[in-house]
Amino acid sequence: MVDTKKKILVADDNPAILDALKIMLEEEGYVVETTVDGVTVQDIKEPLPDLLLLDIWMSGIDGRNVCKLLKSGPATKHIPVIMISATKDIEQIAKDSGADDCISKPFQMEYLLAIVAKYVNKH
Amino acid sequence: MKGKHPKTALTPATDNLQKAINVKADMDITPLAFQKNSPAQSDESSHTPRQEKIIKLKEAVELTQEYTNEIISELDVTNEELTITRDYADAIIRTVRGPLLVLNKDLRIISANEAFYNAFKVAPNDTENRLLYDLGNRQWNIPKLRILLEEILPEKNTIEDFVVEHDFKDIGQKTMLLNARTLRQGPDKTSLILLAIEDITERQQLEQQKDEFVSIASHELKTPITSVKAYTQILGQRFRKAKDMKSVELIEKMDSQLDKLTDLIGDLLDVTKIEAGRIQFHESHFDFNDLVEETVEELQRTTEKHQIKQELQPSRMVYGDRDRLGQVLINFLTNAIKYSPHANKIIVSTLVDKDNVTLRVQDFGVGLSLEDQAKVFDRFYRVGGSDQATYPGLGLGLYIASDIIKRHKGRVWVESLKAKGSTFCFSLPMTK
Ligand SMILES: Nc1ncnc2c1ncn2[C@@H]1O[C@H](COP(=O)(O)OP(=O)(O)O)[C@@H](O)[C@H]1O
Ligand SMILES: [Mg+2]
Repeated sequence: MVDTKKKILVADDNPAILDALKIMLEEEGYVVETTVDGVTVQDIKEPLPDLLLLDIWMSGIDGRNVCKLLKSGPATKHIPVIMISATKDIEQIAKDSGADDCISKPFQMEYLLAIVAKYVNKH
Repeated sequence: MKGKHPKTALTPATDNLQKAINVKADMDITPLAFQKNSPAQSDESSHTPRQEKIIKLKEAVELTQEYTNEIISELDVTNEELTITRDYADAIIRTVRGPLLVLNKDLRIISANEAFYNAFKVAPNDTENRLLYDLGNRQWNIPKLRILLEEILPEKNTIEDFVVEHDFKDIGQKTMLLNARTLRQGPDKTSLILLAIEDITERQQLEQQKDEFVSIASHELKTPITSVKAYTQILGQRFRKAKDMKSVELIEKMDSQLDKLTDLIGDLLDVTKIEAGRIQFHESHFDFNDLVEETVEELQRTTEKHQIKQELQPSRMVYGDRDRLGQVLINFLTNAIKYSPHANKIIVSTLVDKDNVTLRVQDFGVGLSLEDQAKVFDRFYRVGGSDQATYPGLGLGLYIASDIIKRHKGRVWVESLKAKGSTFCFSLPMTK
């Protein structure tokens, strides 16, 4: 049963946001892994997540570069990346970094869950 | 002299001189005849007509002399006035705090003020009577400036707020704001050029710092709101599952207050973006009435007192940024609700013709005086007075709204009667 659950990796440098996202997604039945350290996202290993929720400004790590890196790696480029940020220009940034979609902070829970479901099921 | 300056107003002295000349012209003699044989000198006692003419002529000459003297002294006065005027102009040039150059039409420097010498670290000796482009290692030989001074200025006579970025020899990379004006002076109408140079490098840097600050601040403020809002919604979900609808209601109120806070932060950020001209639009074709209906429905949920009525003409596809145009509509509607606390109706209507689609939001509230109507779209403007000032707000909504509409090449305006209500409108051109 655990195997059939979709795995989501959330990277954000704000612990409270990570905590809330974890609760939200777990209540929806996802397996959630979180990290405050953007560097660990760059070299994720098997088992790879089914989706990545990625903050843009992460205390020293630029989410844009992380995204570009993942999207150019043969093993990781299929992972849907959804950028999530309080930056107003997020749409442009997401497009430029090759992310699949974006969500601006603060977000509406239903909206976030809908987007996550859309990409997780595609995959 | 007369022929040269037909329009010169006659001073009393020139007037008199003219009269004296007229006296001479009246006399029927030829100067040549008078010089060659002059019988008048052989007969002194009796005045022949010729002698009388000579006497008259003498008088005329004396008169002329007298008036000429008068004119000379008048000219002295004029000269003095000229000196005063020049001193006055000089004083202005020297007093102005920003660098100022006076050039002749060949762009040779006639004078410069202290501020110029200080700002560009140059001396009067190396400046006056030199060609502008030859100054300080030809640091003013800037292609853009040449076009400006040689092509645009002669035609338009003024240059306003032209920005030049340039690496100057002694003072480094600077951003300068140029204003220039051609003056036509004196009887031969030689032109002078006044060139004001303002160093806006620092101001620009400050602007940029402010922009960056506001965008960082808004990001920082939104971060805790994000987690509070997320926790709030998790709680809402749990109460909903537990069928505790009273708590759900409270949670929804919290949530909508958080949205208000987010909007305020968004407005502050928008203002700095508008100032920097950096609002980005994501344009597409969309159904106009859909947007109106959606927005009205959303706003209807925020008020129990007001019934928002829709009187919409058949819809049109509009090209523009749907979210931003929605933001304008939200602003008109929240204002209509806010500024009509004792009314119970708001009317939203559309008007469609072949060139434009017009949207009107009419309320029956406090209204606006003519004077305020002209200013409500200004940044930070809020109507003053004891009653109006009691309404909450930052005075940014309409400023942002008008910028959004203008950037869509549309028009925004208000029709209002004090104490009767206001109708805020915008129209968008139908393109493509
Ligand atoms: N519907 C209206 N009726 C009367 N006054 C209005 C209306 N809408 C705006 N105003 C006036 O215009 C000012 C500017 O409006 P806005 O830019 O939306 O800022 P605010 O945040 O103060 O509402 C308001 O402070 C108010 O005085
Ligand atoms: Mg307002």
